[in-house]
Amino acid sequence: MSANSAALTALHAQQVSCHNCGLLLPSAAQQHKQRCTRCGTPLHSRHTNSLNRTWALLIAAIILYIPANLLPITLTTALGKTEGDTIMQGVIYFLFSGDWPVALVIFTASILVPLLKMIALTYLLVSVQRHSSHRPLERTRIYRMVEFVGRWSMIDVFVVTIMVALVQLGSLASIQAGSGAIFFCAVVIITMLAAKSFDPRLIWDGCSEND
Amino acid sequence: MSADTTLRPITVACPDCDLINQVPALAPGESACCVRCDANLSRNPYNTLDRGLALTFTAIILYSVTCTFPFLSFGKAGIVAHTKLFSGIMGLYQEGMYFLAMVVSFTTVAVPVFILAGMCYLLLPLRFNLRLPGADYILRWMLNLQPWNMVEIFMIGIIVAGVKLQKMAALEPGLGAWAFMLLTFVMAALVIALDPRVLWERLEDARCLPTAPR
Repeated sequence: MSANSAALTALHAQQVSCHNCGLLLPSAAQQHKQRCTRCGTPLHSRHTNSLNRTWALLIAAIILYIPANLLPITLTTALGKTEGDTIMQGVIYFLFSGDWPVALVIFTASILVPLLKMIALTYLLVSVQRHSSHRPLERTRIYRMVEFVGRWSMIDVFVVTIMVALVQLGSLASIQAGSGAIFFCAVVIITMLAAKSFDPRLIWDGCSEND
Repeated sequence: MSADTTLRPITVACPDCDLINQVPALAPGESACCVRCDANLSRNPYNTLDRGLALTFTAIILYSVTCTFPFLSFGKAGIVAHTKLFSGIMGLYQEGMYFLAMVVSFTTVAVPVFILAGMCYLLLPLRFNLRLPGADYILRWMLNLQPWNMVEIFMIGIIVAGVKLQKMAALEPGLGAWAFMLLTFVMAALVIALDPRVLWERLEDARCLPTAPR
């Protein structure tokens, strides 16, 4: 990584780039008041309080992940009998009824992706706080993946919405959204915000410090 | 004015690793990425304004069809439920699931509508090298809200719900659902047809509307 030690970053060059429109400007003395001259976005060399904010959101998401998986996301009423289904019960139902592609989609989007996302963010935060210079390129790729894939966990929330709208067949059958759906939706939104508040440039800052 | 142009060389800091990169002049169809971390720095899409406008108008027509025609119907033995796009949101709201209703209406109605309306406001005047007041503000918010536009995820949700419910009764997609499916592809193509840097530079170069004398 000797090539990286000589690398000139905007921070070292006392410049700041606008995260919205990409314009590169010289850093002002009072940085917290500086705004982009082209698009008006407040400028920061690194996201404000990036590590603290990401930790806070991540911990909130981990806590909410528990009720999201334990409480039912749908309540099915059929012939007077109401039954609650958690996310995992839905996956198991599809696995045994032969619809394994659907089981795979729900398992990946609703259980695996949120879990891997929280593990990845924890790893990124810890490695940045330890000023690690280990494989920055791979860690940046992990970050990009976390940011890209996060939205797709919303699938289950939309599935519940569509079923609630459709299955209103009076006394025959009806489906209501369970409280787990609210927690699950909150997990997806909060992890998306956590990924957004994490600043990948901190990964590379740690590398140049060690040289 | 909307013909393909070569983008001028520019110095930028990589958004992902902060390295200062010298981006060379980009011919139409070319793109540049960071030499250290591979992040996308700049693209010069072909015929960006015309394509952007064509796709925006297509998306607006498709979204109007989605909202006015039956979306999905479901049921058997004479009890058939017909739904529109909004009835799922209304169902959640009536059940007292205000938070879910808010999230779903934000991601599948408010954000796509804002982006499409913003595109019209931005691209149509830009085609004639004009900028309307507040165009910079609107472009900024369109870029911020882009990840919250979830029409394509809603589409996958429809498919999963269809498979989930097939044991109960058949799910029949209406004209609205077909239009919605096309909309997801058109909105994805819209993202590919446009690049933030090109839009910001065109906006910078465009003439302001002459303000009316007071």
